[in-house]
Amino acid sequence: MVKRIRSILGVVLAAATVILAIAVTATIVTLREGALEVRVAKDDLYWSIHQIEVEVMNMLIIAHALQHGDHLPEDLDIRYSVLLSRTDLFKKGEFREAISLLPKTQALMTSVTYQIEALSPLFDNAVNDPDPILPELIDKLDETRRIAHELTLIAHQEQVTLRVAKRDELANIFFYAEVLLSVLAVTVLIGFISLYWLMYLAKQAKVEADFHRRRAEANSDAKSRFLSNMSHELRTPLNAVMGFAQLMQMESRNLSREQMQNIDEIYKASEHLLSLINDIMDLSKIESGQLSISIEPCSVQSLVNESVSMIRSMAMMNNISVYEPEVRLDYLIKVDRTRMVQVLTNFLTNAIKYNRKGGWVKVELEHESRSGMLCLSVADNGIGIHKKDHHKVFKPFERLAQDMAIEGTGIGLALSQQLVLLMNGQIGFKSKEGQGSLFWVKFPILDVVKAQDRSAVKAVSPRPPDLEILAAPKATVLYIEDNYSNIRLMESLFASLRNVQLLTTNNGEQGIAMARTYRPQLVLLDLNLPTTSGLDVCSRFQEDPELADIPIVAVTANVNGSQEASRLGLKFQEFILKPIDVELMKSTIFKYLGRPQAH
Amino acid sequence: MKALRLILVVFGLGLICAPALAEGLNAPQGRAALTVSGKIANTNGRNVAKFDLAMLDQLPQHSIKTSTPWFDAPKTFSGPLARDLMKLVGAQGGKVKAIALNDYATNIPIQDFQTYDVVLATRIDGETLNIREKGPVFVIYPFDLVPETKNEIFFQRCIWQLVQIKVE
Repeated sequence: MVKRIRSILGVVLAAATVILAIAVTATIVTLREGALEVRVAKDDLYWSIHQIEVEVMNMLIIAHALQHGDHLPEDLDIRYSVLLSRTDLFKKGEFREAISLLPKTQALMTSVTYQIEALSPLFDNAVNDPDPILPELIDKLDETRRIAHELTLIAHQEQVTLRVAKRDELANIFFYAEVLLSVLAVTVLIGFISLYWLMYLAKQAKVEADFHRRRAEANSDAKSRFLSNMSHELRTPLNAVMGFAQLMQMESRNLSREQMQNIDEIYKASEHLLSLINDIMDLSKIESGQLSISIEPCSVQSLVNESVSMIRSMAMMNNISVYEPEVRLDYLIKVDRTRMVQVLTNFLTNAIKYNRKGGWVKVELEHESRSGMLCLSVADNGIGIHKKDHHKVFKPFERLAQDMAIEGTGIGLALSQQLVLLMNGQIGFKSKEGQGSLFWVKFPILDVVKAQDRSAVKAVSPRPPDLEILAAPKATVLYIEDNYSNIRLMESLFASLRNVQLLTTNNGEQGIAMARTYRPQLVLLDLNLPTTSGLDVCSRFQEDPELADIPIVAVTANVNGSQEASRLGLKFQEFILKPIDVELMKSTIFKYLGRPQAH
Repeated sequence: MKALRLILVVFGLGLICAPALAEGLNAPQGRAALTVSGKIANTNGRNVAKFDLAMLDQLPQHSIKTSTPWFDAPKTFSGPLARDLMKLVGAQGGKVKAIALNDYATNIPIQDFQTYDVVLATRIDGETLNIREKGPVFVIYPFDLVPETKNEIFFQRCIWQLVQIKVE
């Protein structure tokens, strides 16, 4: 409402200013025209009228002189012509216009002209024989002189009256112009005041907006910190759960079949929990604009292969056939490899989860030559999505499945959409309830290359080396970690390694002191330690010439640990994110302690 | 040799100029329409050069079509150029005093005749100007052609019923 009043006022003010400016200009133009007019007739009018009287006088003088024989009769004729030329003057051009402004003068002029022209026959006769005509001519001329004189007086009087009237009119115009100018000045002043007022309001609004923005930023920072802490706090216990489960799986020979199955269930549930934590973290990072992606040209074939290989066992378990596209051409698109695999895996797992027994899932590629885009789609013949739910598909936390037995949080597709948009792609779907769904992404094609032979791509999974055997002489590893179950987990892991001594401490300072004493070949370092943080410990190691050469591997539940370390310029050999993968942990340890020797 | 050539040139010039000068100085046959007096070199009377209409007609004629304050529509005024007449009488002054039949008089700088094509009009739209129609001679400036002349100063120099020019 205030905004509307403001804009109406603005328009009114602008319109008033424009109208006033036009009025002032028009007035000035009128004044200018009046002042600059070339005036011959108007200024000479009175003089020219008076000349009629003068000429009549001249004729009278000549007529009188003729009576005494002092003049030629032709002179009379010449003077009469001159007189006629003077009255003719008012019949044409500007003089006629000028005299029309003086009505009384004009009327009198008509009768004077008529009277003078009526003298014509008298003059014709006088030229031939003046003597008998002269007395009558003199009488007539005398009468004409009288009214010509009256014409002079009337013209003078009327011209003066007209001049005064004109001046009054001019005074009015000036007054009008002055009023207009004053109003214009006031309008402009009001305009300026309003402008300052608006600027003041805008400034205030900006201050307020800044305040809100800062508060929002603070809130966002707090949220990020909370989520980061939350993630850390959730990952730490998961590390123990998943780590011990893995260790127990490795020692399966001591377990009964049922115990083994139980442990598998524990591990699977933990994995699911971890993926949920990851999804929530990703979505919250995207929302606060903190998710960083690294876009590079990627082969679509390799993306599909990688994604499909990740879900193959799940598909088999659900008795779903997965078809990969048979293509001769491969395409390069610009995406973040990890995130793209995440999106495709999400499509694929959904296609498997919301399917039917013996259903199928197809991955298809289509080169849209008109737009130069590659359409990568995942289709299934599963349960599909009801039309009324279509608008909810990409909304976070919306679960469309009626069957609550199907696991899910409703984050996957929302996250996929955000990721695809972040990678400058397009995302969409088609679905019919009971017939299946098709989810697609589109990316501009960077290049088209020949597809690799599928058999050649087949990943050669290296056989994990026999980790239990280690290089002699005996190696020492220092593990600095404040969480008791994590220490226990690592101790269990190391128990299976021969020739390796594991030293542990739950305190950074003590860790540094132990490193000085025992000179370990490798340090495993937790980052979130009380008092002296893991980052501080790393920094102290690097500053100390005796310790600087010892490799440090961070074992942390902090997903941002790597970024924080590089921000501080700290160099860790590796980052292992909790919950740890036991196999990965072992191979990392070997990397720094030397290759295992054959038995 | 050089001297001879100079004499020949002067003589030749004289031959060319003589008829024109002799013609300008003929006495008027009819009633004189215009009398030029004052600082002039060539005369045909006592210190005056008198011209009748025929003599004025013999000078190169020039026409100006222009609007004026005195007529409703633009009119064509024709007659000799004032500067030709000044040349003919050998005028040597800086200005002329132009006098009308009714003794009205106005001063015109001779420079005007050089700057503008000022016509001593004897005809209006081809008709001879009689006294009633502001003849016998009406001084006209090319107002429409040269807008700078369209003001009261030049209108005032446009004397009509011109009968006498005094070169001063």
